[in-house]
Amino acid sequence: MASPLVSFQNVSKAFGSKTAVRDLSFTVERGEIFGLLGPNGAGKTTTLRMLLGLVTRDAGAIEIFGGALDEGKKDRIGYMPEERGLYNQMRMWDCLIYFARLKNLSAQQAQTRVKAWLQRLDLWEHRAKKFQELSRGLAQKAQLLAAVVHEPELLIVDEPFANLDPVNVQAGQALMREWRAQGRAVILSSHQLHLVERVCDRILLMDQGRARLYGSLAEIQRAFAPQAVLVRGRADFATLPHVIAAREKQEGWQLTLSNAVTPSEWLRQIAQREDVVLERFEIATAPLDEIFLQLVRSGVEIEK
Amino acid sequence: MRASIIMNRVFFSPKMFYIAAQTFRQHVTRRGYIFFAFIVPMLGALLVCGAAFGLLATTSGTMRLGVVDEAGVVVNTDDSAQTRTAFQFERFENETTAKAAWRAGTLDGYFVLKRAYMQTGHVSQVTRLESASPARAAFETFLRAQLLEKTDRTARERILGGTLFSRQPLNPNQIPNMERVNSLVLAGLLIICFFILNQFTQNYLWHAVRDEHANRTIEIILTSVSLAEFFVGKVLGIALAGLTPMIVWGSVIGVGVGIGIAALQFFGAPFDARANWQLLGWGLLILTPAYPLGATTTVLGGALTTILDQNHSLHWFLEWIPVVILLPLTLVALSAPDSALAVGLSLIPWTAPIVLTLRLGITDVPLWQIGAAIVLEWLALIGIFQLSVRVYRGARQGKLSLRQGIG
Repeated sequence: MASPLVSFQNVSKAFGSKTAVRDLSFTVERGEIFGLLGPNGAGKTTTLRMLLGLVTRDAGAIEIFGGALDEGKKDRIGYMPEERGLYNQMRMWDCLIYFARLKNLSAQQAQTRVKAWLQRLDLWEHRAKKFQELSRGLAQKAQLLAAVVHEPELLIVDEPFANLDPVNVQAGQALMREWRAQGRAVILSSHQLHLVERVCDRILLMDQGRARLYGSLAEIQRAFAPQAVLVRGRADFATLPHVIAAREKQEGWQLTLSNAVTPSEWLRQIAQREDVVLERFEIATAPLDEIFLQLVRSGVEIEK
Repeated sequence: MRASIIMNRVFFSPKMFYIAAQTFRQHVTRRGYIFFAFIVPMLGALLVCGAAFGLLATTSGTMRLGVVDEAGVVVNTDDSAQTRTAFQFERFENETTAKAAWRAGTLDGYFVLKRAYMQTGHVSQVTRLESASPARAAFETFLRAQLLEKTDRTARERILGGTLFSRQPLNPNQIPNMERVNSLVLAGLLIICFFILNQFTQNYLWHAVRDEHANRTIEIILTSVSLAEFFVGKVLGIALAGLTPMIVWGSVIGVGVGIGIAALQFFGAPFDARANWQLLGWGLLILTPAYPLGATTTVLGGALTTILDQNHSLHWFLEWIPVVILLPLTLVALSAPDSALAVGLSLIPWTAPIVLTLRLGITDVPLWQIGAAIVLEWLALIGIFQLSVRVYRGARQGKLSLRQGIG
């Protein structure tokens, strides 16, 4: 079995009296999109900075590409920070070429790739502008470009969807899926849980420096909504047998069933009813927002 | 991090040169920089050339000077006796005829060798004010040739060529210093250039590190390069940006000075324009590590302020120390250039560039002092560099105590 791309083992970090990260452990595999999620102040950015060597850990072990981070491995990593880290007085083209050269691309490679990415991200016409002349969204896309131009094996993005419109959010998500399909890994850090749950394979949900949830996103969501189903059709769903809660949604009704029946048994029962015309039936998954709120209220830490 | 690792990872790193090149470009493409570095010296050169040509036009051609020889000294005024200058001398019987010629405009002035010249050395001079000095210098040379007219020709030419001094130093380890005013001038010029370069770039360096830290650009940079590569690249880039206008200014001034010296020599001024290449060489060896040492100290200061207090600036402190503290010490040291204080200041890496370089223009400096100063400068440079990397890395952990930051 191949070693993980990234490995955190019992890592802790404190800034003075404040503990930013406490006894954190997780791995990131090749060919997956890993979500590092949590509210503001959870310790996500500190975790990423420790991974990148920007901040030293107080305890634990961090491995990347099978060992400690060294200068040679930096060329295999792409990083997009949460806050824009660009030279405001520089032209976009010059700045991107500069960052690409710092990743050991030749001058020719840098120019070819930067051009291709600028065209792909609809930034080509803005290449001669200084960053201070660009909107936040355009600058954010340029920032992403700087992180991917050298085609890193590991892409780390911190709040990538902030400042982006829905079209660009989708484009960003598509890029990450494409990256995954190529066998690369993406670590996606965000507090916008509803956006990232559409792309992540596994997640680590943090709060106050601790891990609250860790594992496959699909399994976690199912584990938190075992008796929930999503239906659409013509019926008074709220009054059907074994339905203890009903919530109307845009895509239909989300029903919570009692423990007396499994969702599949319930489906068999109502399918035979003449007062029910069912157009859609689906086992519902709990949104990450709701999962997180449940965890925070209960104060429980659950790990895979 | 050991010094050998730093040397291997940093000084042979192409990424460091990319950073240096980008930093250099960042500064030299600014309008203010282009104006100061290129436009101003060119305009200045044009103005000076224009004034010089104008002056030359009004004073071009050979100046004709008269000699009234009441003392009977002048023997020969034919072409063979004339010095190769822009002055031609013509003998007049008496001052009346010389004055008449001067008023008629056929003479540019005249000298009167008084009857008792051989006893008193008294000569009266009647020339235009602006050419008085070069005319006097030319007349001195002419008069010397006249007094040596009856001397053997070889001896006359040797004496007229100037005295050849060779100094024997008391200590064989000392570097013989050519006792010419241009040595001190050269030393002074080197110091001025060093000081201007330092002051010009210090501000940029101070802000370069702090601003990149503030705007998070450094987070992206440090995921590509090491902190050491980043620092060295920044220092190198800013140094080149500082050196460029100095080279332009130096070239323009150098050409101008060269033309001026040639003109003075043409007019017969006793000015020795020979350069002290040895002093120049030692000076460059002393100043070469001095600039990055000062720059790295500035970078350390920038890193320290991120630990102590974001609003607490050490910048003014580092900027004015040379003036407030070092300048008086330097003056005291140079008043007694071989004193213990002067020797001591010549060995301290932060004072050596100024004190030692100036001492080289004044006195004979033992080789061991020069060698020790250069070695200590390089050791201090490496030490401060390591310390600034460590402090800056510590500063990025957040607000720590100074001890935590350095440890």
